[in-house]
Amino acid sequence: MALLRSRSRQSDFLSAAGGAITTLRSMAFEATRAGASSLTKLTASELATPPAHVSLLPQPALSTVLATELSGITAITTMSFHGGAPGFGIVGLDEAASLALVDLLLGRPAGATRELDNLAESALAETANIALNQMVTAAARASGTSFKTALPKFGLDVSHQLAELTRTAPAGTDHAVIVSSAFSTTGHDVAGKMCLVFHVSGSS
Amino acid sequence: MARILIVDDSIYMRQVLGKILKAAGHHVVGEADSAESAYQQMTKLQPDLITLDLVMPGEGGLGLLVRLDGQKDRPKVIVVSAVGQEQQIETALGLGAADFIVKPFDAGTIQQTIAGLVAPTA
Repeated sequence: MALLRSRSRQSDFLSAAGGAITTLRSMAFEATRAGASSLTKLTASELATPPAHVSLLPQPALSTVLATELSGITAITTMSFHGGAPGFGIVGLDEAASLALVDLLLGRPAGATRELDNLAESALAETANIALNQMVTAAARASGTSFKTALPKFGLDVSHQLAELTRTAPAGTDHAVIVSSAFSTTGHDVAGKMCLVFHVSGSS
Repeated sequence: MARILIVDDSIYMRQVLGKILKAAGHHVVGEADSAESAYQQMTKLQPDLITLDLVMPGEGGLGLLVRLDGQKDRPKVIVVSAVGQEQQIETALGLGAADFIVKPFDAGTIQQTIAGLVAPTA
């Protein structure tokens, strides 16, 4: 019964979002705008975000595409979700941006943070968690479905975390929709990448 | 002034909330990083109000709301969560949460919400 419900929700998501590229772009726009808006509020800084890029690709290509998309990233927070469609979100930063973002979040002078201690890692993880949840909420609203999000995972071993996320495709899916964007703050050295990945069936 | 227990698995968020609450003159009686720990501390600390995260290791914030549902003299609960989908908000409010604040929040929202809940009634 639960599986049937899950399939039904995924069908809703696919028909609402996966069927038309314009709907997907609209969802991507809303999702990245929501994520960026939350980062702006958390850092009290003006944030620039280029238009989100949306792509549909076969599952086996996912790990390579993500590795390319996130090249140069040294710290990532990932968050899995299920519901409308199974998938995950990622916020990634390079080392300098991670330290600069911690300065902003903890109200420290620029350059004060030299290493990521427990508090710094918690700040980065929670900030990414908030941005990703905002993106997922926007995606749910745009697609008329709902998602249940899991605990965020922060890590410095980017390739290991990506491998864990892309190791197996959820049953019944063979393609992935990637909604990706970047962000940068005005006047601070904080620039990063954020994306949502939805596992879908290419035959739908 | 209210006696408040902060429940959130993020050290950073506990610190942010603690500063906001103390600045508003409230007494933060304790902090918990899980629903289980919060439930244990509640008996001992007798808070007037709990700020409660939803997604945490273990049973999560909804689990604590289920435990408290129907209890006499339970503390008021404000859910403060990154999760902002309508379904989850309705579930939390249906389980007795007094209010639901979606992260990111500003200090004023937290302070006004708490003031509205703990203010003496005429």
